[in-house]
Amino acid sequence: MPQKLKEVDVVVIGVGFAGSILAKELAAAGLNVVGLERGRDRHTVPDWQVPAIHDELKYSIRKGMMQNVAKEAMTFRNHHKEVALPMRQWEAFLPGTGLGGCSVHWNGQTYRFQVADFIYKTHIEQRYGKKILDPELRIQDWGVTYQELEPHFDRFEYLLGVCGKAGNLNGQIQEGGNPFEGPRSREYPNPPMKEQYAGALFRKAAVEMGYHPFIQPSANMTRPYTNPEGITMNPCVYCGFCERYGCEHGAKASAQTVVLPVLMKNPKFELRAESQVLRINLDSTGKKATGVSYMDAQGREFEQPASLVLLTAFALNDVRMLLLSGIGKPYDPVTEKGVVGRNYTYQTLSHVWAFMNEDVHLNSYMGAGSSGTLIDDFSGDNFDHSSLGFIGGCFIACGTTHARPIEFHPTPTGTPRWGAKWKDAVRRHYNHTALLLLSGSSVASRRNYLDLDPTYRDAWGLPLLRMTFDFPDNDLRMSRYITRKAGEIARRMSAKSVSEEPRTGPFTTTAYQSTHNTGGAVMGTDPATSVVNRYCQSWDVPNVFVVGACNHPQNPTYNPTGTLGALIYWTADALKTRYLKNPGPLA
Amino acid sequence: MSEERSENSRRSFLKSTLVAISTATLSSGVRPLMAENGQASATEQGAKPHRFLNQSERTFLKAAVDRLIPPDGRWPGAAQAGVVDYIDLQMGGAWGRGEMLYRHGPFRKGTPSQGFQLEYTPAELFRRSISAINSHFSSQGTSFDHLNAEQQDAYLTSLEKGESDLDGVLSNVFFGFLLKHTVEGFFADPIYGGNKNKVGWKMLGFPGVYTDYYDLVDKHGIEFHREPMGIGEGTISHSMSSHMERS
Amino acid sequence: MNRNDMLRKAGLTLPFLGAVLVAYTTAQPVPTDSAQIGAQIVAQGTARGAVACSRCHGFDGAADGSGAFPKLAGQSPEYLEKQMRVYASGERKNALMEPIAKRLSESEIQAVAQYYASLRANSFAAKPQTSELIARGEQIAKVGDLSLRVQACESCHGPNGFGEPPAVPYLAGQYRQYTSLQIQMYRRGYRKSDQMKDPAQNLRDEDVAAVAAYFEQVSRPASK
Repeated sequence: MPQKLKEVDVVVIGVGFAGSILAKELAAAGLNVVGLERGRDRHTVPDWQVPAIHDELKYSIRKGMMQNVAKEAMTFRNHHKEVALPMRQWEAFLPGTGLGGCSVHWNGQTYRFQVADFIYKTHIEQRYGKKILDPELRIQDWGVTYQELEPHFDRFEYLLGVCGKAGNLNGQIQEGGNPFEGPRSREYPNPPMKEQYAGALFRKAAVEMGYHPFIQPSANMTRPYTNPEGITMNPCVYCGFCERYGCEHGAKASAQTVVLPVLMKNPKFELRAESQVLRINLDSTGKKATGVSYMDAQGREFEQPASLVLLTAFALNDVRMLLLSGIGKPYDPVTEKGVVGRNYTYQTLSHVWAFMNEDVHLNSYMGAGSSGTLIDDFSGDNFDHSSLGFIGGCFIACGTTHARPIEFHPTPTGTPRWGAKWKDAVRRHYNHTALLLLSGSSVASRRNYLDLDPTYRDAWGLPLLRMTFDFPDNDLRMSRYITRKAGEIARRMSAKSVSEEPRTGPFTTTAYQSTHNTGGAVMGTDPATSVVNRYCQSWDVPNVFVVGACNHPQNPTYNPTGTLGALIYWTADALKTRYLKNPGPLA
Repeated sequence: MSEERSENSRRSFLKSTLVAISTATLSSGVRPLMAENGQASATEQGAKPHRFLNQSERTFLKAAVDRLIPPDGRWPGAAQAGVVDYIDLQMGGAWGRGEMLYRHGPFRKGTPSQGFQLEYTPAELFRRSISAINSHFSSQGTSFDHLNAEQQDAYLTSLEKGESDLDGVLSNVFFGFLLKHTVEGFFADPIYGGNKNKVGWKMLGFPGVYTDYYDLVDKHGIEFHREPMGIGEGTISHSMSSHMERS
Repeated sequence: MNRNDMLRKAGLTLPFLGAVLVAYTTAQPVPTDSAQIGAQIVAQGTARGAVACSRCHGFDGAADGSGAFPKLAGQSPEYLEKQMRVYASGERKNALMEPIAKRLSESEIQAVAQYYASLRANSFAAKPQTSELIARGEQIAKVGDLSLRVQACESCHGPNGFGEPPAVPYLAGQYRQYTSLQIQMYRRGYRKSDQMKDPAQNLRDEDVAAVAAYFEQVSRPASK
């Protein structure tokens, strides 16, 4: 018999970036907040100290920081006519777990989506007409604009101490920054990262070709920084163990390093780790959440009543929780009715390898998560697509996050996969190879969606999330075009040889690409095509808010976290200034 | 939470970290200093690890991994680097037992995009496949390790390209597993039994796990040569990981 | 008696007293190797008035055992060179070292750095500290302290505090008084380092004493 606990004001499901910041804002406003995190409590000291943390086999290969796939996996198929089967190990993307969530093991690359991204449908149709869109595409406007989010971007960037150089200050283009970015109201809180050798070579070639390189904005600190919460971070030492690892120096912005020390001191907040939320409970009308049910590590079930439920468990888990709880109508790809799981998108990654002469010592193992030089000339709609026959774009970044040997041992195209020639090529090229990484947008298609699997279950007996996804052809055409452009830059870098690897279909779960799983609980102004309104509030159950990259109607060029941060503060503001005063639908 | 932690005694804090280091190595399949039945491990006594592989499997693997990463004039091959020991420890640990995989059925053959769908754990996959390979050769009165290098390469290529059935495992799936584990064993931290004396890291010029490059990252093009440092370096006498490194 | 005792007898215990010093001269052939040139400067000083390094740091890089002057033996040469440069520029404040460093040319700096870098680590019987202090120091060195928001020293200073050459100096075997003093210098801004700023500020005095005592008794391998 589940034990019913004393009611609290707020339950937060998943204590990562979004959960921590929202919990801090609401606890500071005087509310009683319980944070339920399925993973462990963990901290910089002692959990992420050298040498134990720099264990490539444990953390990169065996996915030590990630969701325990043995207990809870997801199923996958490319097309709804196939039978979905479990992803029995994580490869293509790596859902996190534990206090701090993905903010512990991310790379720290922090961007703002562009002005046009938030009004994507309007913008594309105005500029090119509907004819440029393949029939399967379902791009949408967000319902919130860049301008409305600007102060919230600013607040998130100052919380994290993002390091960079502004390219557009209140409409004035600035030397040294990204000339394509949306206007920001003030400079970044910290100066840009040091430029690696590979990035410098890329910069030179890019400038010669008329592009506009700038240093990648970074949530790895470039100097000691005390954020507005009064918490201090240390400078990054370019250790090359960033993504998939916790940072030993407190140099990477994470929930632990930017907000948790303040949150944990507030007696209004209680963290319950190792608590697996099973569902959000609704009353008999189905329009009001009464709280959540969860199970602790001993298998005891609890009912936690609450007036307000914040679902911040990572994009994919958010969608699954809505489906398990019966909040919102699940999407059907055949009829196109329903919204939960609709517009699932990803990131269209591709690579260009530049193999340099053996006297060019790149020392790529001296890397940081956000250390790179990049160009935005091919991002989003920054270039004219009129005659190209696709929409969307990629940024092209050169610089290394790492050169950990099990993961990084590039060889030129045509090298055998094993044997003496392979070994020799690995040895010869290891320290003399630059990687140009292209991060591309992902348009929404009617065919790609999330729902619950009919067959496979998790350790708690609940259906796994089922992912139906393949790259829309639009994105493959985009990737081909821009990867060729990146190849030209690589050749300009005096590379001895260049290997271009555009994205090709079908999407496979067997090789890592990105953990930018987006959409599925999109925000918008029309309940027929969105799950939450422009304040991230459920249309169906107004005392449930969902804040995550699941809100993105489609995924633009960049990493989602910077924009997620703006949505976090935008939602916090809506909660504090409007919802709490008068609970009910805000839109 | 921080108040609680500061009240922990120094000793228990230190102990918990040493336990964290040792459980870290345990959870990745490295055998503990004391085997489950409480006896000292063969590792501690200085002999080779002997967690999972039988002799005929070791013999096959020693020859096979040395074709995947062969010795050359300057750098050892996979066998000398301890890759077979690495595989032994991995197959005998949590990874080999399948504890890091979703192992609920029904098991069905999937599309290539759907990845690994076999009902076998990694250890079972190795055992079945190698047994099938060894049987294949013994039925011809020979064994893989008795072939010459060219013949071995041709056979491995046939496994790689083909889909012959190795007692329930497609040969290209087995080959992919073998190659993956060989590369892992060659480059992983020496605490896992491979990359002996850090030969993999030395060959690449990878400096290892101690990594303060703040002052060096923008010295473009410098030749940075350093004896690589691994996880086992850091602990002088107490922790289990230093025992692992010595073995 | 050994050289250290001789120097101590010559009144070198306190660095700021301009005591009369024993000059140590030998007739030697003109050296060509950098470390050999360095050895000459260490023994005799330079014509432009830089005093002989051995007066404070000893010929074996172990100094006089007082802890007032750091051990230099086996330190990364690039690190030693960098310190000489920041002494000369005033960025690292030290009334004794500044005029000396200013009087050395770039090649002389490299030479003395090479000399001391080439020396083997020497064993040194540290005055025993309490086991509790050392255990506390070991904890901070290898694990850090969450409540102080201090990461493990070894994250940057290498396994067992052996250093991460070229940039990060060893702490193992260094005199505890010297190590403690340097953390004070970082705290007060007399030594500048973005990386040492927070650890120096967050460690309390008793933690500084513990870390310094711990590293002093860690022996470094004789060969580099």
